[in-house]
Amino acid sequence: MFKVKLLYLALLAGLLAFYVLYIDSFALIMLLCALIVPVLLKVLLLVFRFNSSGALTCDSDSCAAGESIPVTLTVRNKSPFCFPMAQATVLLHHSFGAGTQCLQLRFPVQARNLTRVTFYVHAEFCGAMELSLKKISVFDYLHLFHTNLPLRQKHTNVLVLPQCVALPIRNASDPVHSQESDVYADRPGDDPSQIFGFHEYGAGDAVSRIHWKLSSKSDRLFVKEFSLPIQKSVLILLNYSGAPRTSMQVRIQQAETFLTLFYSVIFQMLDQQMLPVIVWYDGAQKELELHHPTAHGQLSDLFRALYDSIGAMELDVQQVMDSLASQRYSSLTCITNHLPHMLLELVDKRVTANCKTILHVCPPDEQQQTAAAEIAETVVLPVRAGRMQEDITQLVL
Amino acid sequence: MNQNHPSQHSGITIENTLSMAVQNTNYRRNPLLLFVLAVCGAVGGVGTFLSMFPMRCNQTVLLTVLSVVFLGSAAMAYQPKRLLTLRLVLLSLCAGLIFLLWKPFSSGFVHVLNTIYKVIYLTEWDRYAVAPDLSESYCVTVFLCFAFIPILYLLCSSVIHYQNLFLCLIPTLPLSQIGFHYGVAANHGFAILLLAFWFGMAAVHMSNAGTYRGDVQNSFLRRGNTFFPISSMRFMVTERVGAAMICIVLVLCLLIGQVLELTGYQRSEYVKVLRSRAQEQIAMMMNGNSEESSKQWQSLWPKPKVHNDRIVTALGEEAKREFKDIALSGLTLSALPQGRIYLKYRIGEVYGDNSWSRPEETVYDAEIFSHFSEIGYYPQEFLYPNMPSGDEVTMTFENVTETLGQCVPYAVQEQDALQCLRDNAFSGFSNTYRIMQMQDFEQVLLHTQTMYAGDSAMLYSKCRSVNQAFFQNLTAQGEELFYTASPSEMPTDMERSMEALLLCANGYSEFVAQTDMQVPDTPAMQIVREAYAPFLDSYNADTADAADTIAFLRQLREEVCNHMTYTLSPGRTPPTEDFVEYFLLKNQKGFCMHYATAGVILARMAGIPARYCEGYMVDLAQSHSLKKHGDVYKLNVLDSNAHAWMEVYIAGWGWIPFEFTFVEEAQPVTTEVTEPATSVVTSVVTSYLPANTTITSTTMPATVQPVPMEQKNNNDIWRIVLCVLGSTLFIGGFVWLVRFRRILAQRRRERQFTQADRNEAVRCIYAYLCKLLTFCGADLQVQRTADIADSAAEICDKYLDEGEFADAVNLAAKAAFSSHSISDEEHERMLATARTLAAGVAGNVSRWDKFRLQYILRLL
Repeated sequence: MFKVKLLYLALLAGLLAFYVLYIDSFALIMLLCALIVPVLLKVLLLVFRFNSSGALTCDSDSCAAGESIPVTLTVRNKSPFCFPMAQATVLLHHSFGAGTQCLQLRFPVQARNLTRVTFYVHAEFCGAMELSLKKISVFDYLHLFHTNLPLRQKHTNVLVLPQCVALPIRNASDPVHSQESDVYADRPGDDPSQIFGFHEYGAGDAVSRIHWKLSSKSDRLFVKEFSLPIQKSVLILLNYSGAPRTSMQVRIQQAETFLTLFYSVIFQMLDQQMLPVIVWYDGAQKELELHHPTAHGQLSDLFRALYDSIGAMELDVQQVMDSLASQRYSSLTCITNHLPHMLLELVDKRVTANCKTILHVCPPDEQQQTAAAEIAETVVLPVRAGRMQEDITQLVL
Repeated sequence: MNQNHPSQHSGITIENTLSMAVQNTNYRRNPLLLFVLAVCGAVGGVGTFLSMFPMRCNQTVLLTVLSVVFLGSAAMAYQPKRLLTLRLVLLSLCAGLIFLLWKPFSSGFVHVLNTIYKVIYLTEWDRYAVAPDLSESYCVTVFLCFAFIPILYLLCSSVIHYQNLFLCLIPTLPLSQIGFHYGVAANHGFAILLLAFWFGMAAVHMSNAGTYRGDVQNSFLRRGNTFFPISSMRFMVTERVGAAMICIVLVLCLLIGQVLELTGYQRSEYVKVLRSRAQEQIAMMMNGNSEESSKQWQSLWPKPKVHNDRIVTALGEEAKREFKDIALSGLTLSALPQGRIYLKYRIGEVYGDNSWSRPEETVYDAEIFSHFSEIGYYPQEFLYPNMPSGDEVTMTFENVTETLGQCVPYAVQEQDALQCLRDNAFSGFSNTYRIMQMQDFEQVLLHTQTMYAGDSAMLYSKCRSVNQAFFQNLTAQGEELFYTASPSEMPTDMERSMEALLLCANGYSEFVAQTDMQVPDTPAMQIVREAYAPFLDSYNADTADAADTIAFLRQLREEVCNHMTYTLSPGRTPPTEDFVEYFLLKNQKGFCMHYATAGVILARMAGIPARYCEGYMVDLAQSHSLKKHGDVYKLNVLDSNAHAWMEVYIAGWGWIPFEFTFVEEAQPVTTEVTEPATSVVTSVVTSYLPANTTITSTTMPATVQPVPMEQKNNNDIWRIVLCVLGSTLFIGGFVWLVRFRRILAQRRRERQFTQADRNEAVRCIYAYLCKLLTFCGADLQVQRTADIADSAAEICDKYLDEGEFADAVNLAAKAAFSSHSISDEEHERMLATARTLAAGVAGNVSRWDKFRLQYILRLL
């Protein structure tokens, strides 16, 4: 645009010389016209600016890693003027990635029309994608001036869920003996023999749980909710540390493995009708986060909460101990990338569960331990980043 | 998956796939707009050219042929890759026709060249010879018809097919530049259209947009992380942008033109002076005086300049001379002299390269000037004969400008009791002069016989023999005195006076003969000499005395004035022509500069030393500002008093001013003017113009006659009336256009709604319903079709029955997405819904919204 302005200034200089040398008033008309045209174009741009807007939207707010999602840039023009070029600048940032990518789109803007430009992006690893529309600049007919459109929706966040990995999970925990059976009488669970209630089918609900008989009698689909077999409760304890001493690449790999492992475990548990209790420590809020997902559809919210906390998730062992020590669980699985002694002691000695497993996510270059360490009741399984399926041969919950 | 670009650890990959969609798909391309652009370019370019250089041709035939050629070129431009055979055939046909009509074609070319030449140089002379047996109209028509074919073809291709500004400039810029370069005025309408066309094409070229193909992948090109449309695509905005730009420029230019017209715009003096200086610099650069020119460029801006005798006076550079009739100085005269008062500004003695210049300074190193320096006398260039006392007039300058301040009249100078006229080459400027009452030097010399035939010895002895009595009352038998002295005093050094006189008689005459008799030895001068041989041969410089010389010059002047036409707009002298030859033998039009130069050259050819003078000449009988204040007379010297004349050297007399421009003598001022003039003063020389002389300039003619006030008022009124009428027509036309657009939109909508394809009709009706609802504030940007009716429910309930819009949505979905064929009954239902909604909206919105719906959005 700078070159065009220079050229136009040269044109004005030429017309000025022409006005001096050419006696007829036409030379003055040309000069004045050339002086006023940019002003008029600027006015057109201003009129357009006050009658238009731009927005950036994404159809879905979550996706899987590697999955393409469409992102739509919308420009609404209510003015009667069309403009040949608009340039939109979109910034893309991944929560676990380095730096921000800048995307530029150039397209025309038609008069009194809505223009949608759709592009596709995918995240290479799980996390959160932040897409922000920095500006939409519209240029006038001669590219002398430009104006930035007011933006109605500038930011959109897309949750990138990990890709589920098939793990050999076996449900083999003993029932927890408790005499207080009526405590669980009101809680939904996984015992197909007892139908606790119904709810309308939503995205993510298992098709196998649809109550076909009831659904056929109405226009809607209903899904069964089962009562809890009071013997079972599965605790998933998460601990993630930033590990600043490792490289960015290793950190991303570790984080991805951690999240993928967790996601895969939860996903398969839900598939097998095992409803876990997920706990992690939110360092920012200084409190424990408890989640009870019952359907796949709730995983995106769960992960959203997890991503928000992942920067400060290192366990406050004492607080965890205070909260969990009084509970009894059929199984406890701790997924961690950092295994301090206190955590080990917590899991092994302080929490009561029939089956205890620690999945330790470690850097990919660490030597695989020759045997799974057993500390009293706990099974510690090292899981190298990027080699999950190799390292987990069997996981008993 | 498409080939992707690496993320570089950012974690996000942007895929190559990108698509664009628009909501209102009725916004279609309008290729007709490109045709309109091309029409503007063709009409503007051809019209500008023909308005600047009016050709004698058969306009009907030319217009018809050009229209056919243009339409054919436009049609071919829309189908660039087709009709190749037809193009070849047409090309061959054209070539064959040119071959068959070669003679009229080539003659037409020559006629066109001559017309261009005549317009540029404001002459009637045919520069190039033409065949006399073919009519000019026929030849020019043939030539223009064929010459414009490639121009129009290139224009159409560059506008319609390539949409490239620079290609458009190739045929249109030269057509206009030929005239603009030489200052030829063009018809404003065509020129403005051409300007608008250039701006429009600039906008089209800059749009850099393509055709939208909607759902096609790879509609965009990717470079790095930037996506932009590839050049083979054309988006629908391109033509509209060009048309919008043309409209903007046209309206703007017309408004500016009207404003200039109403305000009576005149170029300022500052700009005029700037222009003349710029032209001087350009001329100097063209003549190779780059060094001098570069120095002058630094002082280009108008500033008072000190007079320098060596400034070259360029001849024939101006096409016309204009005056503003502004006063440069006031003059006070103690009495009214007889004849014209000449105020000499500068002298040109060396003629060459169409210019006058002074000789080099080294010329004045001649021995004669060192003698003058020794004796303290400088040449008394004009030794006036015996004057009765009291016949002098005191002339005083008042409020003199710097230019006029360098001018010196032919005034009396007293030096050692000798009265003589000053030589302003060596004397300084004074505010007050004494001039002789008799300023008509021709008359003086006509009645004066030879003083002496250059016999200095005889004069010397005569002076010596008289002795003291020489200064008392010097007379000579049969000879008149040519100087006199104050009777009261004797000069202290009589010898010095004698010596000066002798030196003047001999040495200076020789000097003048060497310096001021030179004529360039060029073929042009030979031609002039041959043309005026009968006159030149009739004069014998060796035997002629002063009276004979003056009589000869008067004859020569009469001959020249009778055959030449005086005009202030003679046109430029072509650079390849000699100024004098062009004036005397070809153009035969000019003003004082031309006459004076020709006179000097002819006098030199005859053997009379002569030189060119410039300055101001005041003819008291023609001066409208002359008025008497008590005992003195006052008048103004105007810029229109600028004049050029010649000086001839007559031995024993010196340099005599000789008027070569007018045949008539100056009329005496018989009445005393007591009232100042009130009307605009015209140039003095116009009094000698025939009554029907017109200034041939087409842009800004010099004021010839003052316009009476009454006529001025009438012109103003007409102008206002025309302006009002024009504005009314414009507004009326605009309103009609807006209404016409609405009618067109209604008809188009009706056609779409009642078309044979019912499914398409239903889709169109549904789109129309959505537009109306969107206008009313419904947000229809929902994901599911089923939700559309819900989102518009609040508004639909106001105008439609319950479920009516939902039914319409269902019908539209069926028409769009299923194989169901819409029945007539369903179509009618849809139409009824649309009409009901339209009527409901029209009846319930505000007036402004209704206006918008009807005339801007054209939905009702």
